[in-house]
Amino acid sequence: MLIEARNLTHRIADRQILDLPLLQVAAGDHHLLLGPSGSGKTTLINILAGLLTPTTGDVLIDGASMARISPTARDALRREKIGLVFQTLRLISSLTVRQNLALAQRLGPGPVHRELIDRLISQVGLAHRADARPRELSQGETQRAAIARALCTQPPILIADEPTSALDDVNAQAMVDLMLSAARTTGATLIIATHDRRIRGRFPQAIELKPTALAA
Amino acid sequence: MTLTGLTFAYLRDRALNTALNVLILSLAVATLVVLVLFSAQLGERFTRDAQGVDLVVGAKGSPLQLILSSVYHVDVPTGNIPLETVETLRADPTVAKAIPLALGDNFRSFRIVGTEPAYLDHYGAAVAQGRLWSGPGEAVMGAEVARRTGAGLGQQFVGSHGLGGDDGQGHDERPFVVVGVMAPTGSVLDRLILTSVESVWAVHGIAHAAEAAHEDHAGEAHDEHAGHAGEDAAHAHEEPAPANASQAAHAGEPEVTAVLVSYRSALAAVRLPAFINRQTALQAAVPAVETTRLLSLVGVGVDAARALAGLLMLTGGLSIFVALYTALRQREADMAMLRVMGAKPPRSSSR
Repeated sequence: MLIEARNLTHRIADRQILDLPLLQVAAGDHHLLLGPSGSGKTTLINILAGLLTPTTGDVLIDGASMARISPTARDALRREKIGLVFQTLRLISSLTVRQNLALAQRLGPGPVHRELIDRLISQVGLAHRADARPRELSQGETQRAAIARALCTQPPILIADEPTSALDDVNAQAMVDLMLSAARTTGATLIIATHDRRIRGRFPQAIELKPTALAA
Repeated sequence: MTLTGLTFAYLRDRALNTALNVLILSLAVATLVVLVLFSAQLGERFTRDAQGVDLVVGAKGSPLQLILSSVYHVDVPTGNIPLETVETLRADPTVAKAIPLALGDNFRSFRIVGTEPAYLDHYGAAVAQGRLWSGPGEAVMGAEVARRTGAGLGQQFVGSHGLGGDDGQGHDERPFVVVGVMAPTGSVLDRLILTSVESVWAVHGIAHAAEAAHEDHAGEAHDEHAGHAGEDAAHAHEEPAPANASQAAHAGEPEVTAVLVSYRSALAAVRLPAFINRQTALQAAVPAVETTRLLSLVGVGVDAARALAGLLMLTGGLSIFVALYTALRQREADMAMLRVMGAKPPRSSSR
């Protein structure tokens, strides 16, 4: 398994946010992560990416225990293997769309690949907005730019949190097509957390999270 | 896009903010530097101009005024003293040098000083162009005077009454002629026009005669300036004391404004000032003492200004700290994103 999580729980104060006994994702799989608001989807994504330490349990990425490796090694593992699209769409505010992608490649494991940057910008429909800064973009354009940035390092694992929430039907389908196509091309594993009914039919496998807000 | 590029992108994105912060800190640093330089240069200039002058002998009055007028040439003289004072001082075995100074006129605010070649030697000055004065009406200009007035060799100029600028009453009948220009010395000499003491007397003798002819219809009571040369009447309107050597021409008794004295032996420092101060018309002032007193007076202002500059710098620094802290808070999300993308902690955050 490329990703394996066991006995994951996460609590904030006396509130349990996540309770997931087992998660197994094979290399090249494409999964939807489903669940209503508050079911812990974003928490699980942060734990899988090594951005959050679970209260209990462990995550293995390609056999490496996230709980046992050092923070530096965890950063390196994330840099080399995981591409992330956040729900809050964090583009670097002072940089243009093209510069955001170039910076991601610069910080990533591979070389800077300008043609790939231009191609991705074009594929997400932002060729005319390549030199615009995030504050000059609409929310949908920002979301598409964030997806392009996650794809531009060609990560083995692509995790996206509500990537279609701000998109209209056409763009939502186009972005899912793009992520699936990119994942198939590179053999990447794709996990998309969503409660967007429009894209449910596009994924053969789904991980269902149930609300676990239990008082201790 | 490198991290250096990212840094400049941040700066460009808030160009006005960045420029204003840099401006605030620059102004604060510049103010402090200017004040430090000013106080250092002031002290250096005072020391340099008074170097080798152990004592100044002049008319009774404020000793500080005597030093300021005769050594630094920034104040009006306290009055004149008899010429024989110079000979008396030179006859003293404890005195190495006694250089007379005769003041009273200016050319475009640069003082005309009647003196002897020993005055140039004292400051190690040399004539860069032309020669020293050798006859009446010949003058040698300091380097700064020549530069700022544009006066060259052979050029004639007319001295004006007083020491603080052209009062419109010049000695048109006795113009000076420039026969030499001194090389820059970095001392007070650069800002002076030097001539012989006799030239100063001669100029004022003629000037007095000319003014006396106009005195009646000019309605100026000569009694008001009793004991002064005719040109002193003009001086008296702007100066608190009869303050130039032109009295010599008027009274027929040669006088000078001050004498710069260098000791031959340390014994003179004990004996000479007391001896001079016992004379009715004379006073002795020690440049080192008066300069220290002056610097302590000026020093209070400089210290206050320096404290103000320090406060300004602190304010500038604090302003920049606040700006940086605010920027840091605003960019926490950016830095978190940089970490997610793989930037190492020291490159993306100081925390």
